[in-house]
Amino acid sequence: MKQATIFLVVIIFTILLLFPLYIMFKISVSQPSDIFTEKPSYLIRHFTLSHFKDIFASRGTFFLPLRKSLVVALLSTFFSLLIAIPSAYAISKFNYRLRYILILLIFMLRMMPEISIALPISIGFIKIGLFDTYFGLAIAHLIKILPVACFILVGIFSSIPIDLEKQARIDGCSRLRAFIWIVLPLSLSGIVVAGIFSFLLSWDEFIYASYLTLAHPTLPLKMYYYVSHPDIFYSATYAMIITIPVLILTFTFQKYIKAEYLSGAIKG
Amino acid sequence: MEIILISPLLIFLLCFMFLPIWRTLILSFKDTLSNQFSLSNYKDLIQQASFRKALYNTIFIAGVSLVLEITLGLILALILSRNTKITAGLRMLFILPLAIPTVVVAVMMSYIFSSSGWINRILMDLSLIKAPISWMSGGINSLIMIVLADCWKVTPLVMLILLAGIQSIDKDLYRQARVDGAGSLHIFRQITLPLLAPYITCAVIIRGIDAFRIFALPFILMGQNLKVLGTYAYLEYAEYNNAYLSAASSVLLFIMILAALVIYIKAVGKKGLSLA
Repeated sequence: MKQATIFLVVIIFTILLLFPLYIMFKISVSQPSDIFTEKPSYLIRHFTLSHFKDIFASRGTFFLPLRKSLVVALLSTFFSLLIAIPSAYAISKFNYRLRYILILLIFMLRMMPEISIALPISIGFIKIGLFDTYFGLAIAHLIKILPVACFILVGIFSSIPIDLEKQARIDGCSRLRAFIWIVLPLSLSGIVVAGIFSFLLSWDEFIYASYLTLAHPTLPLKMYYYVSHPDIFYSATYAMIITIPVLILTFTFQKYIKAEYLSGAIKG
Repeated sequence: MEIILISPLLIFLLCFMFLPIWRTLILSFKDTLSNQFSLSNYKDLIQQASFRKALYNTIFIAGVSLVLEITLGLILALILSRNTKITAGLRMLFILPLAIPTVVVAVMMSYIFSSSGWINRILMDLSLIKAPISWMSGGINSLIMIVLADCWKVTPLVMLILLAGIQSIDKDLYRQARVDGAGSLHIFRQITLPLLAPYITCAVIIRGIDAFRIFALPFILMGQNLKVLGTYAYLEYAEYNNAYLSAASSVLLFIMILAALVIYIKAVGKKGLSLA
Protein backbone atom coordinates (compact mmCIF):
# COMPACT_ATOMS: atom_id res chain seq x y z
CA MET A 1 0.00 0.00 0.00
CA LYS A 2 2.70 2.44 1.07
CA GLN A 3 4.89 1.43 -1.86
CA ALA A 4 1.97 1.94 -4.22
CA THR A 5 1.35 5.48 -2.93
CA ILE A 6 5.00 6.38 -3.37
CA PHE A 7 4.99 4.89 -6.83
CA LEU A 8 1.91 6.91 -7.77
CA VAL A 9 3.41 10.14 -6.41
CA VAL A 10 6.60 9.57 -8.39
CA ILE A 11 4.62 8.90 -11.57
CA ILE A 12 2.60 12.11 -11.13
CA PHE A 13 5.72 14.16 -10.47
CA THR A 14 7.42 12.67 -13.50
CA ILE A 15 4.51 13.50 -15.78
CA LEU A 16 4.30 17.06 -14.45
CA LEU A 17 8.02 17.37 -14.99
CA LEU A 18 8.23 16.04 -18.52
CA PHE A 19 4.99 17.27 -20.03
CA PRO A 20 5.92 20.97 -20.57
CA LEU A 21 9.25 19.91 -22.06
CA TYR A 22 7.51 17.50 -24.36
CA ILE A 23 5.07 20.18 -25.54
CA MET A 24 7.91 22.58 -26.32
CA PHE A 25 9.68 19.87 -28.29
CA LYS A 26 6.46 18.88 -30.01
CA ILE A 27 5.71 22.41 -31.18
CA SER A 28 9.23 22.90 -32.49
CA VAL A 29 8.93 19.80 -34.71
CA SER A 30 5.26 20.01 -35.71
CA GLN A 31 3.65 21.33 -38.82
CA PRO A 32 1.35 24.35 -38.41
CA SER A 33 -1.69 22.30 -39.45
CA ASP A 34 -1.13 20.01 -36.45
CA ILE A 35 -0.93 22.87 -33.95
CA PHE A 36 -3.53 25.34 -35.16
CA THR A 37 -6.50 23.05 -34.87
CA GLU A 38 -9.42 22.82 -32.54
CA LYS A 39 -7.95 19.85 -30.69
CA PRO A 40 -4.24 19.34 -31.28
CA SER A 41 -3.23 15.73 -30.76
CA TYR A 42 -1.14 14.63 -27.80
CA LEU A 43 1.28 12.84 -30.07
CA ILE A 44 3.52 14.22 -32.78
CA ARG A 45 1.66 13.63 -36.05
CA HIS A 46 3.89 14.94 -38.81
CA PHE A 47 7.46 15.24 -37.69
CA THR A 48 9.30 18.08 -39.42
CA LEU A 49 12.59 19.88 -38.96
CA SER A 50 11.50 22.75 -41.17
CA HIS A 51 11.45 25.32 -38.31
CA PHE A 52 15.02 24.47 -37.41
CA LYS A 53 15.99 24.64 -41.09
CA ASP A 54 14.26 28.01 -41.49
CA ILE A 55 16.13 29.44 -38.55
CA PHE A 56 19.49 28.08 -39.67
CA ALA A 57 18.78 29.38 -43.17
CA SER A 58 18.06 32.87 -41.86
CA ARG A 59 21.83 33.31 -41.61
CA GLY A 60 22.75 36.49 -39.74
CA THR A 61 19.52 36.84 -37.81
CA PHE A 62 20.35 33.52 -36.17
CA PHE A 63 24.12 33.22 -36.31
CA LEU A 64 24.95 36.69 -34.98
CA PRO A 65 22.88 36.22 -31.78
CA LEU A 66 24.32 32.70 -31.45
CA ARG A 67 27.85 34.07 -31.79
CA LYS A 68 27.15 36.84 -29.30
CA SER A 69 25.67 34.44 -26.74
CA LEU A 70 28.59 32.05 -27.14
CA VAL A 71 31.35 34.66 -27.05
CA VAL A 72 29.82 36.48 -24.10
CA ALA A 73 29.32 33.22 -22.18
CA LEU A 74 32.92 32.14 -22.83
CA LEU A 75 34.32 35.57 -21.99
CA SER A 76 32.38 35.78 -18.75
CA THR A 77 33.38 32.23 -17.80
CA PHE A 78 37.03 33.15 -18.37
CA PHE A 79 36.84 36.34 -16.32
CA SER A 80 34.75 34.65 -13.68
CA LEU A 81 37.42 32.00 -13.08
CA LEU A 82 40.22 34.54 -13.40
CA ILE A 83 38.76 36.67 -10.61
CA ALA A 84 37.04 34.01 -8.52
CA ILE A 85 39.85 31.46 -8.18
CA PRO A 86 42.37 33.72 -6.40
CA SER A 87 39.66 35.51 -4.43
CA ALA A 88 37.97 32.34 -3.27
CA TYR A 89 41.36 30.89 -2.33
CA ALA A 90 42.07 33.98 -0.24
CA ILE A 91 38.62 33.90 1.36
CA SER A 92 39.03 30.23 2.25
CA LYS A 93 42.14 31.19 4.24
CA PHE A 94 40.33 33.89 6.20
CA ASN A 95 39.12 33.20 9.70
CA TYR A 96 35.51 32.24 10.26
CA ARG A 97 34.26 35.69 11.23
CA LEU A 98 35.73 37.57 8.28
CA ARG A 99 34.55 34.93 5.84
CA TYR A 100 31.06 35.11 7.30
CA ILE A 101 30.95 38.89 6.95
CA LEU A 102 32.13 38.77 3.32
CA ILE A 103 29.56 36.17 2.34
CA LEU A 104 26.84 38.07 4.15
CA LEU A 105 27.84 41.20 2.23
CA ILE A 106 27.64 39.43 -1.11
CA PHE A 107 24.27 38.02 -0.07
CA MET A 108 23.02 41.50 0.77
CA LEU A 109 24.11 42.84 -2.61
CA ARG A 110 22.25 39.97 -4.22
CA MET A 111 19.03 41.04 -2.54
CA MET A 112 18.86 44.17 -4.62
CA PRO A 113 16.70 43.59 -7.71
CA GLU A 114 18.81 43.31 -10.84
CA ILE A 115 17.00 46.19 -12.50
CA SER A 116 18.45 48.61 -9.99
CA ILE A 117 21.96 47.52 -10.95
CA ALA A 118 21.32 47.11 -14.66
CA LEU A 119 19.93 50.61 -15.15
CA PRO A 120 22.87 52.65 -13.75
CA ILE A 121 25.28 50.29 -15.48
CA SER A 122 23.69 50.70 -18.87
CA ILE A 123 23.89 54.49 -18.49
CA GLY A 124 27.53 54.21 -17.44
CA PHE A 125 28.36 51.84 -20.30
CA ILE A 126 26.89 54.21 -22.86
CA LYS A 127 29.28 56.89 -21.59
CA ILE A 128 32.40 54.74 -21.82
CA GLY A 129 31.43 53.00 -25.05
CA LEU A 130 30.82 49.52 -23.66
CA PHE A 131 27.13 49.59 -24.51
CA ASP A 132 26.02 46.86 -26.93
CA THR A 133 29.47 45.25 -26.99
CA TYR A 134 30.51 41.68 -26.22
CA PHE A 135 32.94 42.80 -23.56
CA GLY A 136 30.44 45.08 -21.84
CA LEU A 137 27.78 42.40 -21.60
CA ALA A 138 30.32 39.87 -20.31
CA ILE A 139 31.29 42.32 -17.54
CA ALA A 140 27.62 42.82 -16.65
CA HIS A 141 27.04 39.07 -16.53
CA LEU A 142 29.88 38.76 -14.03
CA ILE A 143 27.69 40.65 -11.54
CA LYS A 144 25.39 37.68 -11.54
CA ILE A 145 28.06 35.02 -11.91
CA LEU A 146 30.84 36.02 -9.51
CA PRO A 147 28.94 35.52 -6.24
CA VAL A 148 27.93 32.01 -7.34
CA ALA A 149 31.39 31.11 -8.62
CA CYS A 150 32.98 32.37 -5.39
CA PHE A 151 30.47 30.44 -3.29
CA ILE A 152 31.31 27.21 -5.04
CA LEU A 153 35.06 27.74 -5.00
CA VAL A 154 35.27 28.85 -1.36
CA GLY A 155 33.54 25.60 -0.45
CA ILE A 156 36.01 23.61 -2.54
CA PHE A 157 39.18 25.32 -1.34
CA SER A 158 38.07 25.06 2.30
CA SER A 159 37.73 21.30 1.96
CA ILE A 160 41.36 20.82 0.99
CA PRO A 161 43.42 19.87 4.05
CA ILE A 162 45.75 22.70 4.91
CA ASP A 163 48.47 20.23 5.96
CA LEU A 164 49.06 19.23 2.35
CA GLU A 165 49.97 22.80 1.51
CA LYS A 166 52.05 23.19 4.65
CA GLN A 167 53.98 20.04 3.77
CA ALA A 168 54.71 21.40 0.32
CA ARG A 169 55.90 24.68 1.80
CA ILE A 170 58.23 22.82 4.16
CA ASP A 171 59.59 20.92 1.19
CA GLY A 172 60.58 24.26 -0.26
CA CYS A 173 57.71 25.12 -2.57
CA SER A 174 56.84 28.77 -2.91
CA ARG A 175 53.25 29.68 -2.10
CA LEU A 176 52.41 30.08 -5.76
CA ARG A 177 53.95 26.71 -6.63
CA ALA A 178 52.12 25.04 -3.75
CA PHE A 179 48.90 26.53 -5.02
CA ILE A 180 49.49 25.46 -8.63
CA TRP A 181 50.82 21.96 -7.91
CA ILE A 182 48.84 20.98 -4.82
CA VAL A 183 45.64 23.00 -4.52
CA LEU A 184 44.63 23.40 -8.15
CA PRO A 185 44.74 19.71 -9.15
CA LEU A 186 42.79 18.71 -6.06
CA SER A 187 40.07 21.28 -6.71
CA LEU A 188 39.81 20.72 -10.43
CA SER A 189 36.31 19.23 -10.32
CA GLY A 190 35.05 22.18 -8.32
CA ILE A 191 36.64 24.60 -10.74
CA VAL A 192 34.97 22.79 -13.62
CA VAL A 193 31.62 23.12 -11.86
CA ALA A 194 32.19 26.83 -11.20
CA GLY A 195 33.07 27.24 -14.87
CA ILE A 196 29.95 25.43 -16.04
CA PHE A 197 27.73 27.44 -13.73
CA SER A 198 29.34 30.62 -15.02
CA PHE A 199 28.74 29.60 -18.62
CA LEU A 200 25.13 28.62 -18.00
CA LEU A 201 24.28 31.75 -15.99
CA SER A 202 25.54 33.89 -18.84
CA TRP A 203 24.05 31.76 -21.61
CA ASP A 204 20.43 32.26 -20.48
CA GLU A 205 20.78 35.70 -18.90
CA PHE A 206 17.97 38.05 -19.84
CA ILE A 207 17.77 41.26 -17.79
CA TYR A 208 21.27 42.68 -18.30
CA ALA A 209 21.17 41.61 -21.93
CA SER A 210 17.94 43.50 -22.49
CA TYR A 211 19.37 46.65 -20.91
CA LEU A 212 22.74 46.50 -22.60
CA THR A 213 21.87 45.60 -26.17
CA LEU A 214 20.25 47.46 -28.96
CA ALA A 215 21.29 46.20 -32.36
CA HIS A 216 22.99 42.94 -31.41
CA PRO A 217 20.66 40.69 -29.39
CA THR A 218 21.61 37.46 -27.65
CA LEU A 219 19.70 34.21 -28.15
CA PRO A 220 17.31 34.69 -25.17
CA LEU A 221 16.45 38.17 -26.45
CA LYS A 222 15.88 36.78 -29.91
CA MET A 223 13.55 34.19 -28.46
CA TYR A 224 11.71 36.89 -26.51
CA TYR A 225 11.26 38.78 -29.76
CA TYR A 226 9.29 35.85 -31.16
CA VAL A 227 7.29 35.61 -27.93
CA SER A 228 6.22 39.24 -28.14
CA HIS A 229 5.65 39.15 -31.91
CA PRO A 230 3.83 35.91 -31.65
CA ASP A 231 5.42 33.19 -33.71
CA ILE A 232 4.90 30.03 -31.75
CA PHE A 233 7.18 27.89 -33.94
CA TYR A 234 10.12 30.25 -33.88
CA SER A 235 9.81 30.83 -30.13
CA ALA A 236 9.64 27.09 -29.49
CA THR A 237 12.53 26.36 -31.81
CA TYR A 238 14.70 29.11 -30.33
CA ALA A 239 13.81 27.79 -26.89
CA MET A 240 15.00 24.33 -27.99
CA ILE A 241 18.20 25.75 -29.45
CA ILE A 242 18.95 27.56 -26.19
CA THR A 243 18.13 24.50 -24.10
CA ILE A 244 19.98 21.73 -25.96
CA PRO A 245 23.57 22.82 -25.10
CA VAL A 246 22.51 23.39 -21.51
CA LEU A 247 21.08 19.90 -21.28
CA ILE A 248 24.20 18.36 -22.76
CA LEU A 249 26.45 20.25 -20.34
CA THR A 250 24.30 19.46 -17.32
CA PHE A 251 24.08 15.75 -18.01
CA THR A 252 27.71 15.39 -18.91
CA PHE A 253 28.68 16.88 -15.60
CA GLN A 254 25.63 15.92 -13.56
CA LYS A 255 27.57 13.88 -11.04
CA TYR A 256 29.37 17.07 -10.03
CA ILE A 257 26.20 19.08 -9.52
CA LYS A 258 25.51 18.70 -5.85
CA ALA A 259 23.84 20.83 -3.28
CA GLU A 260 27.11 20.93 -1.35
CA TYR A 261 28.51 23.26 -3.97
CA LEU A 262 25.68 25.72 -3.50
CA SER A 263 25.71 25.69 0.26
CA GLY A 264 29.33 24.75 0.85
CA ALA A 265 30.50 28.26 1.54
CA ILE A 266 27.79 29.02 4.06
CA LYS A 267 28.47 25.91 6.10
CA GLY A 268 31.57 27.61 7.32
CA MET B 1 49.10 38.54 0.44
CA GLU B 2 45.41 37.64 0.73
CA ILE B 3 44.50 41.25 0.12
CA ILE B 4 46.21 41.21 -3.28
CA LEU B 5 44.40 38.01 -4.26
CA ILE B 6 41.02 39.25 -3.22
CA SER B 7 41.34 42.82 -4.48
CA PRO B 8 40.06 42.14 -8.03
CA LEU B 9 36.85 40.74 -6.53
CA LEU B 10 36.47 43.64 -4.12
CA ILE B 11 37.10 46.22 -6.83
CA PHE B 12 34.59 44.51 -9.08
CA LEU B 13 31.96 44.33 -6.35
CA LEU B 14 32.57 47.98 -5.54
CA CYS B 15 32.35 49.23 -9.13
CA PHE B 16 29.62 47.03 -10.49
CA MET B 17 27.44 46.24 -7.52
CA PHE B 18 27.93 48.68 -4.70
CA LEU B 19 28.20 51.88 -6.76
CA PRO B 20 25.19 51.20 -9.03
CA ILE B 21 23.10 50.25 -6.00
CA TRP B 22 24.28 53.41 -4.25
CA ARG B 23 23.27 55.51 -7.26
CA THR B 24 19.86 53.86 -7.35
CA LEU B 25 19.46 54.58 -3.65
CA ILE B 26 20.37 58.27 -4.12
CA LEU B 27 18.09 58.52 -7.13
CA SER B 28 15.16 57.14 -5.18
CA PHE B 29 15.44 59.95 -2.64
CA LYS B 30 15.67 62.76 -5.19
CA ASP B 31 12.68 64.86 -6.04
CA THR B 32 11.82 64.57 -9.73
CA LEU B 33 11.59 68.31 -10.25
CA SER B 34 13.81 70.04 -7.72
CA ASN B 35 16.50 67.33 -7.44
CA GLN B 36 16.47 67.91 -3.69
CA PHE B 37 16.38 65.17 -1.09
CA SER B 38 12.79 64.17 -0.53
CA LEU B 39 10.50 61.26 0.06
CA SER B 40 8.17 62.31 -2.75
CA ASN B 41 8.94 59.26 -4.89
CA TYR B 42 7.99 56.92 -2.10
CA LYS B 43 4.81 58.89 -1.46
CA ASP B 44 3.93 58.70 -5.15
CA LEU B 45 4.55 54.98 -5.15
CA ILE B 46 2.36 54.22 -2.19
CA GLN B 47 -0.44 56.32 -3.65
CA GLN B 48 -0.33 54.41 -6.94
CA ALA B 49 -2.88 51.63 -7.14
CA SER B 50 -0.75 49.74 -9.67
CA PHE B 51 2.21 49.73 -7.28
CA ARG B 52 0.13 48.46 -4.38
CA LYS B 53 -1.17 45.75 -6.68
CA ALA B 54 2.37 44.80 -7.66
CA LEU B 55 3.35 44.68 -4.01
CA TYR B 56 0.45 42.39 -3.20
CA ASN B 57 1.24 40.16 -6.19
CA THR B 58 4.89 39.86 -5.16
CA ILE B 59 4.04 38.87 -1.60
CA PHE B 60 1.42 36.38 -2.78
CA ILE B 61 3.70 34.74 -5.32
CA ALA B 62 6.73 34.63 -3.03
CA GLY B 63 4.77 33.30 -0.04
CA VAL B 64 2.73 30.64 -1.81
CA SER B 65 5.54 29.42 -4.05
CA LEU B 66 7.98 29.15 -1.13
CA VAL B 67 5.58 27.05 0.93
CA LEU B 68 4.72 24.88 -2.06
CA GLU B 69 8.33 24.43 -3.16
CA ILE B 70 9.56 23.48 0.29
CA THR B 71 6.70 21.00 0.75
CA LEU B 72 7.09 19.37 -2.66
CA GLY B 73 10.89 19.46 -2.40
CA LEU B 74 10.72 17.72 0.97
CA ILE B 75 8.37 15.01 -0.33
CA LEU B 76 10.62 14.39 -3.33
CA ALA B 77 13.76 14.40 -1.24
CA LEU B 78 12.28 11.89 1.21
CA ILE B 79 11.26 9.57 -1.61
CA LEU B 80 14.52 9.88 -3.52
CA SER B 81 16.77 9.56 -0.48
CA ARG B 82 16.37 5.76 -0.54
CA ASN B 83 19.33 4.15 -2.18
CA THR B 84 18.14 2.04 -5.05
CA LYS B 85 18.97 1.99 -8.74
CA ILE B 86 15.60 3.51 -9.60
CA THR B 87 15.96 6.46 -7.24
CA ALA B 88 19.44 7.15 -8.60
CA GLY B 89 17.93 7.40 -12.07
CA LEU B 90 15.06 9.51 -10.82
CA ARG B 91 17.45 11.88 -9.07
CA MET B 92 19.06 12.51 -12.43
CA LEU B 93 15.68 13.07 -14.04
CA PHE B 94 14.46 15.46 -11.39
CA ILE B 95 17.37 17.84 -11.65
CA LEU B 96 16.36 18.45 -15.26
CA PRO B 97 14.45 21.72 -14.62
CA LEU B 98 17.58 23.17 -13.00
CA ALA B 99 19.15 22.97 -16.42
CA ILE B 100 16.30 24.68 -18.26
CA PRO B 101 16.83 28.45 -18.54
CA THR B 102 14.11 30.49 -16.80
CA VAL B 103 13.30 32.34 -20.01
CA VAL B 104 12.69 28.99 -21.70
CA VAL B 105 10.51 27.86 -18.78
CA ALA B 106 8.40 30.98 -19.30
CA VAL B 107 7.97 30.22 -23.00
CA MET B 108 7.11 26.60 -22.24
CA MET B 109 4.53 27.60 -19.67
CA SER B 110 2.88 29.98 -22.11
CA TYR B 111 2.07 26.94 -24.29
CA ILE B 112 0.70 25.11 -21.28
CA PHE B 113 -1.41 27.88 -19.78
CA SER B 114 -2.68 29.86 -22.79
CA SER B 115 -6.46 29.82 -23.15
CA SER B 116 -6.29 27.13 -25.83
CA GLY B 117 -3.34 25.61 -24.01
CA TRP B 118 -2.67 22.17 -22.71
CA ILE B 119 -3.70 22.43 -19.10
CA ASN B 120 -7.22 23.47 -20.14
CA ARG B 121 -7.22 20.73 -22.73
CA ILE B 122 -6.26 18.04 -20.24
CA LEU B 123 -8.68 19.25 -17.57
CA MET B 124 -11.47 19.24 -20.15
CA ASP B 125 -10.52 15.83 -21.51
CA LEU B 126 -10.70 14.51 -17.98
CA SER B 127 -14.02 16.42 -17.72
CA LEU B 128 -12.85 18.18 -14.58
CA ILE B 129 -13.87 21.55 -16.00
CA LYS B 130 -16.51 22.51 -18.55
CA ALA B 131 -15.18 25.75 -19.97
CA PRO B 132 -11.51 26.68 -20.42
CA ILE B 133 -10.03 28.61 -17.49
CA SER B 134 -8.46 31.88 -18.52
CA TRP B 135 -5.05 31.75 -16.89
CA MET B 136 -3.43 34.67 -18.59
CA SER B 137 -5.90 37.51 -18.10
CA GLY B 138 -4.77 38.67 -14.69
CA GLY B 139 -6.20 38.13 -11.25
CA ILE B 140 -5.81 35.11 -9.01
CA ASN B 141 -5.61 32.64 -11.92
CA SER B 142 -2.51 34.33 -13.29
CA LEU B 143 -0.92 34.46 -9.86
CA ILE B 144 -1.47 30.73 -9.49
CA MET B 145 -0.05 30.16 -12.97
CA ILE B 146 3.15 32.01 -12.06
CA VAL B 147 3.42 30.12 -8.77
CA LEU B 148 3.08 26.79 -10.60
CA ALA B 149 5.59 27.80 -13.27
CA ASP B 150 8.06 28.87 -10.57
CA CYS B 151 7.52 25.59 -8.72
CA TRP B 152 8.33 23.62 -11.84
CA LYS B 153 11.63 25.40 -12.20
CA VAL B 154 12.74 25.64 -8.58
CA THR B 155 11.46 22.60 -6.65
CA PRO B 156 14.46 20.52 -7.88
CA LEU B 157 16.89 22.97 -6.30
CA VAL B 158 15.06 22.73 -2.97
CA MET B 159 15.00 18.95 -3.37
CA LEU B 160 18.78 18.87 -3.92
CA ILE B 161 19.50 20.93 -0.82
CA LEU B 162 17.15 18.85 1.36
CA LEU B 163 18.48 15.62 -0.13
CA ALA B 164 21.96 16.59 1.01
CA GLY B 165 20.49 17.16 4.46
CA ILE B 166 18.69 13.82 4.64
CA GLN B 167 21.77 11.96 3.48
CA SER B 168 23.84 13.60 6.19
CA ILE B 169 21.62 12.10 8.92
CA ASP B 170 23.22 9.16 10.68
CA LYS B 171 21.37 5.98 9.63
CA ASP B 172 22.00 4.43 13.06
CA LEU B 173 19.56 6.91 14.58
CA TYR B 174 16.77 5.43 12.48
CA ARG B 175 17.77 1.88 13.29
CA GLN B 176 17.87 2.68 16.98
CA ALA B 177 14.43 4.33 16.83
CA ARG B 178 13.00 1.30 15.02
CA VAL B 179 14.41 -0.99 17.68
CA ASP B 180 12.75 1.18 20.30
CA GLY B 181 9.47 0.67 18.45
CA ALA B 182 8.94 4.14 16.98
CA GLY B 183 6.51 4.53 14.05
CA SER B 184 7.38 6.18 10.72
CA LEU B 185 5.54 9.40 11.49
CA HIS B 186 7.12 9.59 14.90
CA ILE B 187 10.59 9.08 13.42
CA PHE B 188 9.94 11.75 10.83
CA ARG B 189 8.82 14.30 13.41
CA GLN B 190 11.33 13.50 16.10
CA ILE B 191 14.46 12.73 14.06
CA THR B 192 14.28 13.77 10.42
CA LEU B 193 12.62 17.15 10.77
CA PRO B 194 14.78 18.55 13.61
CA LEU B 195 18.01 17.40 11.98
CA LEU B 196 16.84 18.74 8.63
CA ALA B 197 15.93 22.16 10.05
CA PRO B 198 19.22 23.88 9.14
CA TYR B 199 18.94 22.65 5.56
CA ILE B 200 15.36 23.87 5.33
CA THR B 201 16.53 27.24 6.59
CA CYS B 202 19.25 27.26 3.98
CA ALA B 203 16.73 26.45 1.24
CA VAL B 204 14.29 29.08 2.48
CA ILE B 205 16.96 31.78 2.51
CA ILE B 206 18.45 30.94 -0.90
CA ARG B 207 15.01 30.59 -2.46
CA GLY B 208 13.30 33.36 -0.53
CA ILE B 209 15.59 36.05 -1.88
CA ASP B 210 14.98 34.97 -5.46
CA ALA B 211 11.25 34.44 -4.92
CA PHE B 212 10.76 38.09 -4.04
CA ARG B 213 12.90 39.20 -6.96
CA ILE B 214 11.01 37.06 -9.47
CA PHE B 215 11.19 38.69 -12.89
CA ALA B 216 11.49 36.59 -16.03
CA LEU B 217 8.40 34.43 -15.49
CA PRO B 218 5.87 37.23 -14.85
CA PHE B 219 7.58 39.45 -17.41
CA ILE B 220 7.39 36.98 -20.29
CA LEU B 221 4.09 35.36 -19.33
CA MET B 222 2.13 38.45 -18.31
CA GLY B 223 4.11 41.61 -19.13
CA GLN B 224 1.98 44.67 -18.41
CA ASN B 225 -1.06 42.65 -17.41
CA LEU B 226 0.27 41.44 -14.10
CA LYS B 227 3.10 43.29 -12.45
CA VAL B 228 5.26 42.16 -9.60
CA LEU B 229 7.76 44.54 -8.00
CA GLY B 230 10.58 43.34 -10.24
CA THR B 231 8.67 43.92 -13.46
CA TYR B 232 7.11 47.10 -12.05
CA ALA B 233 10.55 48.61 -11.59
CA TYR B 234 11.49 47.53 -15.11
CA LEU B 235 8.33 48.74 -16.84
CA GLU B 236 8.25 52.02 -14.93
CA TYR B 237 11.52 52.87 -16.62
CA ALA B 238 11.04 51.12 -19.96
CA GLU B 239 7.51 52.38 -20.61
CA TYR B 240 7.25 55.68 -18.74
CA ASN B 241 10.93 56.56 -18.56
CA ASN B 242 10.57 57.28 -14.87
CA ALA B 243 13.92 56.30 -13.37
CA TYR B 244 13.04 57.84 -9.99
CA LEU B 245 9.99 55.70 -9.32
CA SER B 246 11.78 52.67 -10.71
CA ALA B 247 14.64 53.24 -8.27
CA ALA B 248 12.31 53.80 -5.33
CA SER B 249 10.41 50.59 -6.00
CA SER B 250 13.70 48.66 -6.22
CA VAL B 251 14.75 50.01 -2.85
CA LEU B 252 11.40 49.08 -1.33
CA LEU B 253 11.76 45.57 -2.69
CA PHE B 254 15.22 45.32 -1.15
CA ILE B 255 13.93 46.52 2.23
CA MET B 256 11.10 44.01 2.03
CA ILE B 257 13.46 41.09 1.36
CA LEU B 258 15.74 42.16 4.17
CA ALA B 259 12.81 42.52 6.57
CA ALA B 260 11.38 39.14 5.61
CA LEU B 261 14.76 37.54 6.13
CA VAL B 262 15.30 39.13 9.53
CA ILE B 263 11.80 38.14 10.67
CA TYR B 264 12.35 34.59 9.46
CA ILE B 265 15.72 34.25 11.15
CA LYS B 266 14.28 35.68 14.38
CA ALA B 267 11.38 33.23 14.15
CA VAL B 268 13.41 30.06 13.63
CA GLY B 269 15.95 31.20 16.19
CA LYS B 270 19.38 29.80 16.82
CA LYS B 271 18.61 26.14 16.32
CA GLY B 272 17.61 26.59 12.70
CA LEU B 273 20.78 28.47 11.99
CA SER B 274 23.46 26.14 13.22
CA LEU B 275 24.41 25.54 9.60
CA ALA B 276 24.12 29.05 8.25
